[in-house]
Amino acid sequence: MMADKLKETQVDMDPKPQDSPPRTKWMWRIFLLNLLLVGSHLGEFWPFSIFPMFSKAGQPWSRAMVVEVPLSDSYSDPSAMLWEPLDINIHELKAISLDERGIDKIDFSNYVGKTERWTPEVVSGISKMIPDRPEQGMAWLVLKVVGRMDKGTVSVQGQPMVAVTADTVVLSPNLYPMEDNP
Amino acid sequence: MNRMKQWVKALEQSLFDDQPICSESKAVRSGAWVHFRLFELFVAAWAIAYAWTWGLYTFKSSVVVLELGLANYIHVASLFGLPSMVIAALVTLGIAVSITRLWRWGYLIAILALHLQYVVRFSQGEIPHSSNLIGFALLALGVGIATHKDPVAQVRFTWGFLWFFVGLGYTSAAVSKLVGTGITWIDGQHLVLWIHEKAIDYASMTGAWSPNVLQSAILNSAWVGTLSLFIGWFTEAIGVLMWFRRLRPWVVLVTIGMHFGITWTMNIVFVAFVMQLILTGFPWVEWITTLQQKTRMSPSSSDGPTLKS
Repeated sequence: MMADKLKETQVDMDPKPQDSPPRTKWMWRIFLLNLLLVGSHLGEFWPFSIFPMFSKAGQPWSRAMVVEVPLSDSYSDPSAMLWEPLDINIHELKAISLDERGIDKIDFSNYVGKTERWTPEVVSGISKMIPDRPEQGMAWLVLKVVGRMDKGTVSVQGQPMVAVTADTVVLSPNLYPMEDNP
Repeated sequence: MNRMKQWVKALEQSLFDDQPICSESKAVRSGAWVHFRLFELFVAAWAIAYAWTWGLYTFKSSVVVLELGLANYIHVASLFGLPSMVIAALVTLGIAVSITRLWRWGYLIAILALHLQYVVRFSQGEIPHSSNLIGFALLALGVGIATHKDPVAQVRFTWGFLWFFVGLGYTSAAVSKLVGTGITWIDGQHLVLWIHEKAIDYASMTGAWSPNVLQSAILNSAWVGTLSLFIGWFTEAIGVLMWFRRLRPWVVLVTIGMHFGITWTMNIVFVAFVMQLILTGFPWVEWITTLQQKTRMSPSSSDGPTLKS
């Protein structure tokens, strides 16, 4: 039976295509279905899509990055240099590789960028995600990086959120929950 | 209305009749059949690979962040982990029974199951489009083979359906940019902003980033960026010209160029898209048949290859 079925897969090498035309109505039916589905599901119903990628140009974006910096003694001080926002020059980009640590960059960016309340559990999550630690006297700063276009000029700034040191993981004093601030 | 009907008829002729499988030449028809079966193998391999890799990823998922497609109606969190392996097996089985023509409805079952697997996997916030072309191909095979018994009609329907949706998809992307931003979308500073975003992504992933020649040129002069964006947008806009066989290889060629351009400027790689466009967008059958005929007609061909010492 299988052999008979497989024989059916052999095309007649002298077919008469006009005898059995394709049922083109099926294409139009699926096209209508496509319009209905993307129209009622915000433009996405895989594999149907309006393909909106990069359609909104000039919008600010947010990412996350980990950079190595020398550790100052006063890192618990909110005004310490360590917690100052950094202007990022992409021509000299150096970072701690997330790939080498088995961390997905998009997951990490979502974790850092979308967290609104930095509770001890959230900070502990960063500690768990990063399996190793910097050398003594150095810190790995977890930056929330925001890029924006203002009057035709692009600027990228990194806001330090968490510092990972050889012994501890510290939240930026500027991010303590309101009720904890004196 | 009559004009509309004429236009639809002309489009259908272009999509479904102007194909190598309808050729006068028996050699071209045979080649077209081999090409179609190779295309089926290509789509099957990618679809099965997607089904299992997406399924395996869901073992790490715990909550639904984004509800896409059928996820609006089904609680997809209950499909994370082992159930997604069952879905992957269903995709594989559906493809296996259809590619061997044991059951004509297998591809349709596979595309439905793969849609489900997509919404389970991408319930985490990201909406990638890298698999849409393979999705269209599997859908084209599914509808084409389920609704036709004649193998020639199956081939004709599949190619016509596929080129209709692929061309439409690219043009739709161009229209989305006009709707989302407007004519100013092509401003080179937008590309500069995207290059910065992708640079941060790349450095975060690998530890460092430095611009290549094209990226440097765009960062130094927004006009280069404007020109790049205009070429990219225009290439997408003419996607519907893929509906016409004579224009298709040229449109596909510039579209592949556009995908390489996106890779060089924004580090986004389109492996499946480019492979599928190369496999399907060029008249391989005619080229190979012509080459074979020329080789046969060549007087030295009967002597076979000779080795030079």
